Amino acid sequence: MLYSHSIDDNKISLFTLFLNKLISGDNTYKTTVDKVLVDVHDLAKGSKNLYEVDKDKVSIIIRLNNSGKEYFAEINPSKITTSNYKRVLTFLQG
Amino acid sequence: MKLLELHFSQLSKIWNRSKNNTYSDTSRKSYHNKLKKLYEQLEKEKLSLITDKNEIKEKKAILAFFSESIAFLDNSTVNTLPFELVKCLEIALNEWLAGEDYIIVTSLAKGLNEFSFNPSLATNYDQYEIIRSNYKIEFEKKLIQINIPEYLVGDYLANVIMYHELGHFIEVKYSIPDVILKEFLDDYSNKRIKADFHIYFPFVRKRFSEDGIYSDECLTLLKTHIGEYFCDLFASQYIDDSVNHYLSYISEENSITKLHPTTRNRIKLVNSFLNNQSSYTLDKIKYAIKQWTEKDLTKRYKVFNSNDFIKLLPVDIKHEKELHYLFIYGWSIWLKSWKKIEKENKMVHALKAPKVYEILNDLIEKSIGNYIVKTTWENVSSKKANRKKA
Repeated sequence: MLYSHSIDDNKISLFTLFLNKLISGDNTYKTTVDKVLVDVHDLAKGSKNLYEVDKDKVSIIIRLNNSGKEYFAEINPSKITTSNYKRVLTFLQG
Repeated sequence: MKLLELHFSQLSKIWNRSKNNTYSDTSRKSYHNKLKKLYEQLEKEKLSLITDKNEIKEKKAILAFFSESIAFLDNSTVNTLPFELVKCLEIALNEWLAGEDYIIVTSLAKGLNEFSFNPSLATNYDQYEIIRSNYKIEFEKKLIQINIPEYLVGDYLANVIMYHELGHFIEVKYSIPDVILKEFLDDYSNKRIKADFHIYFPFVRKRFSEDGIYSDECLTLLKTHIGEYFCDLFASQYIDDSVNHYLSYISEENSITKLHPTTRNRIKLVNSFLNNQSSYTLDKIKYAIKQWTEKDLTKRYKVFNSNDFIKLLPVDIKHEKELHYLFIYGWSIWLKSWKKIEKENKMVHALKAPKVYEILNDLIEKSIGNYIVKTTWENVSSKKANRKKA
């Protein structure tokens, strides 16, 4: 399998771009990003299992859940803030 | 940003050469027209004036998407697309992604073993969101690119590997290794891993004991090998053990690499699947696939009884699932004695391998081609009849 790694990298790269735009005050991709973070929150809390999250974003969801499970369990899914986005960015860069 | 302009200049060169491409079907043509719209938008941009790093990244993603798309389409024009093979792959694809719109395109590679798959345009939906939000252009259909060795186009014995390559698309589309890996890791941490896991993934015990399994190196190896096992199983649903013949010839039996498990293990897993045997590793993979995709890993070809190839006649295919069986049928004849063909057709001289190779490939291609013509005709006729009724 030649491409899986680069595809994952590419997905992370565009998701990181969306986060950076949100942090800079541009909300164009807020719906897409928040949907992923709500899935990570639900997975971390146990209110969703792995087979119920967004299939197209599962690699990002698993990565965030593995690196910040406790943090994501505590975020407020109905009010995701800029400081949340900044923290998510650190998980992806870590 | 001058480098964005360089990127645009490169794609302009490609576009100028390809903008008048003609395609055999409307979906490729429609995709091409969307690219035209996108090109016209990009042409209006003052790319050198963009300084915001996020905007640069967005434009870069759009330019990369454009170049990749046109490069894919360039090899799938009316003269280059091996449409009989693509038809069989589309039937398999539709079983796994019914309701989603994809276009299989092919690219011809020079090396004889260069079968591969490029999922970059079909699996990362964020790039489409960027295009939509920047230019309000919607690409409803996504391109899946499969690379075929140029000299093996029309070689239906070797092309069974394309089913494995299609498996890579499904694998990446659904992030299948991530999901199966999580199942294995959960069992590993709960000490529920069974012995045969270590047969299929021997490097875990040999190099990554205890917590070593969680190292990036081990996780990457596991994901890659899980992906290969999945693609082998995926392919065997359609063409049984046909890939094994070719695989065992072109690869070393006991060689384990960063990209592939040993051929011996790959064949072992496929055979146990085809023989309905149960094992921890196989059952875990089947369970995760079912949970995640709501699809069973199961035999998906339909067997026909025929002596037609022996009589040098194409098979009259009755059901689309029989198309997959043509590959199995072709392999079964190749692997046996060709005396029957000589006798049936009263041949004076013994058949030589290159002739049988040519005959089998022609017959498989004609069988698929006839089915395509027949079903296309039936569809057109039934549409006409429906229109008359209305």
